[in-house]
Amino acid sequence: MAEDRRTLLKVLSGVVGTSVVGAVAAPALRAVLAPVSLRTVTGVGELVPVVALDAIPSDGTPVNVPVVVEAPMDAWTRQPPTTVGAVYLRRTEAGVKAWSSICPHLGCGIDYDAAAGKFACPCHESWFDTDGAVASGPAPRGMDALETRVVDGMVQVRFEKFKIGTADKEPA
Amino acid sequence: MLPKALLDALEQRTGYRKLLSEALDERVPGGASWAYVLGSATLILFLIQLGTGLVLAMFYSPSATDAWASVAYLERAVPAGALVRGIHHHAAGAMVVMAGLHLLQVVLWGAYKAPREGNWITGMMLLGLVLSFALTGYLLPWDQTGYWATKVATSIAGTVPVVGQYLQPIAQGGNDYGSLTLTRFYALHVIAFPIATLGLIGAHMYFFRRHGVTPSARLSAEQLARREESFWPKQVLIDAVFAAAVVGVLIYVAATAGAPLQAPADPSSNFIARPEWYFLFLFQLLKYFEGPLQVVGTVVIPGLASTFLLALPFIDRKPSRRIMHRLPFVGALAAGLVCIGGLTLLAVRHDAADPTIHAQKKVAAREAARARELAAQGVPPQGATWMMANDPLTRGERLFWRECASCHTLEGRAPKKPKAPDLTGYLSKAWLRQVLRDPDSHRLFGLTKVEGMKSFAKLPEAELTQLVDLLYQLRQPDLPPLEERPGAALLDTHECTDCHDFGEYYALEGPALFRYGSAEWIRKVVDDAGHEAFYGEANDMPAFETRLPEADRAAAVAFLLSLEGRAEVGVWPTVDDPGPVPTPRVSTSTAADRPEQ
Ligand code: FES
Repeated sequence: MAEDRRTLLKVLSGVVGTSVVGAVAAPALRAVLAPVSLRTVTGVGELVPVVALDAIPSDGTPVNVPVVVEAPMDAWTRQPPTTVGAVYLRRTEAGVKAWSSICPHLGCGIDYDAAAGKFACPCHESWFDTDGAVASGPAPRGMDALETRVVDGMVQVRFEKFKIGTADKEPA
Repeated sequence: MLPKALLDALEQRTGYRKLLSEALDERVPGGASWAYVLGSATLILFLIQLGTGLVLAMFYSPSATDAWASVAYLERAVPAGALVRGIHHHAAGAMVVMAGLHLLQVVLWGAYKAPREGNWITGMMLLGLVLSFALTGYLLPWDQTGYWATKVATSIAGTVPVVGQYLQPIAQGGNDYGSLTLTRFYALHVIAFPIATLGLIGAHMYFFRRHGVTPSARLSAEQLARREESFWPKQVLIDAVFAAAVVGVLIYVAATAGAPLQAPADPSSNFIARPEWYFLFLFQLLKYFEGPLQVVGTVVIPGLASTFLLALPFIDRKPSRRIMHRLPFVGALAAGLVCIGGLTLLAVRHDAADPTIHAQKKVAAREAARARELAAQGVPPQGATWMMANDPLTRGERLFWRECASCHTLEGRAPKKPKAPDLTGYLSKAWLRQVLRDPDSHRLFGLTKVEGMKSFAKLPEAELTQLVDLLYQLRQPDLPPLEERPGAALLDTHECTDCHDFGEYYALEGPALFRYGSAEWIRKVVDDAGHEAFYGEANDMPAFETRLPEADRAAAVAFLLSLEGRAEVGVWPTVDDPGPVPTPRVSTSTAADRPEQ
């Protein structure tokens, strides 16, 4: 009888103790695990509007536009608008195409040579066709194409950076 | 249950059974009792603080620009973040209560007496740590209350004779409050104090185990021996049930009330700060000692009281634990408690009776809400204080209280001598209606030299409403010309157009009402109300054009425009004016001297 009572007390202690711990641990864990579903950092790797569709020449000439991320958030901080890079945009049959202006050879900024109708990197004389493929020079791969989308007459680009100097286009 | 073989193996390697039995089979003379729950509840609260504090630290940034924003982010964006912070905040108060009750019981039962001096002294040090945690933690959100209340506390360090001038910069981590104050308080709060507390808890428990519980002095040795039982399981269950009750209340309060977060600390404001309720008595004590005597309230009295407490087991050396045999000591403590209670009550009563504090609280609540609203859009890198200082509405309101509130009443906060119209609900329909009904009232233009407009109080209600609507619409852009608007003829019928120009900013008898109530119109009046197109000769308001920078004037306009949407609009009567019937005035001063209703 006394033993039964002791056992009951033990079980009760366990139950009550566990519920006290659980009651506090549950919200604490919920907060600690929040990053699973929380977007804490925004701006990088997102589709950002860069230029109006009308501003891109209809004859297929590429234009260089800066990519300005409006206000990237880092947790509670809203950063001022920052230019994260530049892209070339060109109208093609299949819609607007975008290429990063970063040279895949060693990372210089690529120019467009209107006279030659080709992209040219001034650093080590890599030349690229208007579809981004390597025409000549040391570049190990063509210019890095980027995802684009047109929303309400604005061209959006997902600006990403890739490894420099490799034959394959791998995320940096 | 784990298989016995596994447990045996564990026992062989760790010797856990001996450890467990050491911990759990402690004999409790006189048996398990509800009287012993206070110490364990305090300990459990401390463990909760360790856990929730760890979570808070994961989201907190101890810098003057980021601290407030990081706390606001935790409150707003992190799931269960507000709850965890609420638990941490209220558990701090609960710890003060539990530790205080624990101390009280120890005194009443005479449990501090030899050979338990070690228990007593470690316990007193732990109480000191509980209060130090509370003090340092209060500053960390870097909000208005934390900033200003803690500033009082560190200034107290500066009043200590001789060494005060060194103590204060050491306490605040620099010559003034700033990021280094936060990092210092943070380091103490999350590293130094927890380690010290864990160490002292170890010592406290060691002494407790060495001398055992102090059973009620009324039980005889024979009774104690007969009812003796082991700590596990009954006392554990009792402790657990009590802890469950405490934690239940704690979570309920945390979930419903949350933890307060005022607007970001603003060193340029004059915030009326109050410490947490358990420090109120100390705060009240300060009020009674002025000038060179200040140090009596800040250092001498609290110092003497703590020294007395700490030395209690050495002063009260008689072995008897009966209260009757220790009356002077128990009496002294009771007197101390009465003082603490009385001072707390006085502090609360004083604040409750002070209309300025009420008004400030309202402003503070509004700024806090506004700050959170702005923070939801992201706080600029310059920090939350900067964000608020550059928010037109907040800036405008602060300007109002600084520049305008010496003449204008707003939302029940009246200047000593109101000299200009009450701007509660300025330009709302309720306000316009009141101006039409009773322009010369002691709450409106009756306070100024502006006069001569007739009262429309006798107008049929429908017509009055139509007039109000007409006036209200004047601020809207792209309206059809006045003549084409419904009811516009009323302006002629009632001779409004005789004195007011509705077509341009042009001086007639009364102020131009062209675009009346628009940001443009308000801005012109703020810039130069004495311009001939407005109040001309009758104007007494300063031309702020020459007094305030552009950004300030724009902020003032934004603020004035927002008054219409605030809850206090309702002070204007919708049917009858309860104020005195307008009478022809002899001079402005009689109007101003009339008592506020
Ligand atoms: S970096 Fe462009 S060619 Fe070398």
